Amino acid sequence: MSATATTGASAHRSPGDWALKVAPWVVLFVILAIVPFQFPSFRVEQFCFWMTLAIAACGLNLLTGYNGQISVGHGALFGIGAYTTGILITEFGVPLFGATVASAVLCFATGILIGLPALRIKGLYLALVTLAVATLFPLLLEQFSAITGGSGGLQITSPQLYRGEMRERPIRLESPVAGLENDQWKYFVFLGITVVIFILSRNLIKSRVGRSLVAVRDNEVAAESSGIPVSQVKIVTFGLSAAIAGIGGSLFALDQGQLYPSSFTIVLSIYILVAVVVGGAASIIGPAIGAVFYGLFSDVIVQQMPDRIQPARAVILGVLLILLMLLAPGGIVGGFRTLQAKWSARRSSALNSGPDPIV
Amino acid sequence: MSLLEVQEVGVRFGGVLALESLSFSLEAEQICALIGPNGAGKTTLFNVISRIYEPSQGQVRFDGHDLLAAPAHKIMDFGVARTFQNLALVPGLTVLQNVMIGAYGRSRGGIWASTLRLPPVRAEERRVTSRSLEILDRLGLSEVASRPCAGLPYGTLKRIEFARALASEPKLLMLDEPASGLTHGEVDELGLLIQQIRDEFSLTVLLVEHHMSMVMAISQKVVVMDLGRKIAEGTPAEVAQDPRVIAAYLGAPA
Repeated sequence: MSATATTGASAHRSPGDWALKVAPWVVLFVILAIVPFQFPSFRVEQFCFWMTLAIAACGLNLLTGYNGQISVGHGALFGIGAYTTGILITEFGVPLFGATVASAVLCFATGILIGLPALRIKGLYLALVTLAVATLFPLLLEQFSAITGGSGGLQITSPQLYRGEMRERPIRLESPVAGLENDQWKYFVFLGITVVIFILSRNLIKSRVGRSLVAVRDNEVAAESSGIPVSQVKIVTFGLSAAIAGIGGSLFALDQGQLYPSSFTIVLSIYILVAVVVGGAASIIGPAIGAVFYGLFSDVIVQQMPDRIQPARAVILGVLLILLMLLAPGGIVGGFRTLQAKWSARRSSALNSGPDPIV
Repeated sequence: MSLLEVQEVGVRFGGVLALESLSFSLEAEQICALIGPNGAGKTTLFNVISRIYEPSQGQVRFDGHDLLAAPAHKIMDFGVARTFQNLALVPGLTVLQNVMIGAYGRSRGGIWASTLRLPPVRAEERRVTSRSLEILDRLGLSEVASRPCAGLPYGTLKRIEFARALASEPKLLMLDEPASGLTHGEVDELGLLIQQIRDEFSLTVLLVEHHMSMVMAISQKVVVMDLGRKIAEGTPAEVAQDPRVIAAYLGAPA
């Protein structure tokens, strides 16, 4: 009977606890809703870029945070998503978000291919394979310049009505809502997609499949003997993670309207990984927080620095990362959880006010 | 026909013969203990049955299936569950979630349905949760259900593994040293629990154990191993009298 008591206790929290749980989300959504009206257009554009990064980091988090497979190649998958979208729109006249879906599918397949070696190799060796992918990708883009435009870049265009005739024009996300500027409209479209992706990934993590990802990460033998097909889980997670990174890349293409190989170097892969680690690996919202922190650093803080210091920004970022990892190895979310645990422990010991109960 | 039949199984690691042509069988709803000095090959045999090790020869048949023809994650489907000598829990999950891992193969919910949290997935999640809570309750673990495994006492962790194995609704439960690290009182309690669980869940139990009092008290059959070979087999009373067993345990007389 205590079994039902346990479920009952977790289902009926006190109203205070409930408010405490919901309030931060309400505040967050209010902030996200007013942000595009409070900042100039170029900032709103930057926010859109941060969201594409957050989506890619969400994908990487499934793989690295929850499934324990390290990838430093997600910049390449992001790039494949971006170029697929660009080429499909420009060459084949695919509708904008149709190209996003196609990019996700292609990246899923690519992820599975990259994931195949992961069945045999793990840890640092897998990181090396993905590193090779990340290093090769911009070179491949330049090699196949006939379709990618090479280092001259790919201008994403679609036939549009211009001065009474149809012409190939750079793609734009036109706002259909009278009160919204184009960049504000884009912001809300991207925000919608980002939120949906994070909710879906949360659903997955909290399910039977999500538990199997963690089991494979923590103990393959135990997972296998509990009936989890370890190889299949690893491969499919790689594919899914790649598909999500591809969606991020696809939105990046729609956001920028033009693509250059120099945007998809190993540095991008590292940034995505940094976003995951800074935000908090194996936490659902962590990658989004990490992406925002990274964006704040590179697009806001660095720009405010005096010119003399600017060249040292990589060093500053490095030092900040080391400090963060020392203070909060679980990233921002991990650090927050530790504080929360300490706080609730202090509160409960204050309530009991006697000698600490022996656990 | 026997539920489990191990025939002429041999395992070789390089030049070392870990198991040599081992055969025995197990009847349904028996409790059978594998005993023998350290290094006798008891855990190796467990690892062969759960398909972690590939034997170099022999056959393992369970409930009409050829176990050696199936991949490791399919063994549970046939109804074989196990615990591990050195604990194989998932530290990143709570106690309840660890038990739910055991029910993985006995529940449905693919990647797309889970991502969309479709109604059948939610219903399945509720079913598995309440079933796992029942098992935790049965093993006296309700208190710790929502805690992470880290920091729990060793005996509790062993029980969580036991619960996880039960969650897979096994026919054969293999327990690798379930009593190690327990106090005398706890060992007696565990022996009783194993018997009760066997009756309640109609299980067959294969057990590796060093606590002789518990082995003698609960098993119907004892298989004695030494240096990768079976040296005796029979009821607890029979093997206790066997001179080869006494020699293996106490050393041969000079």
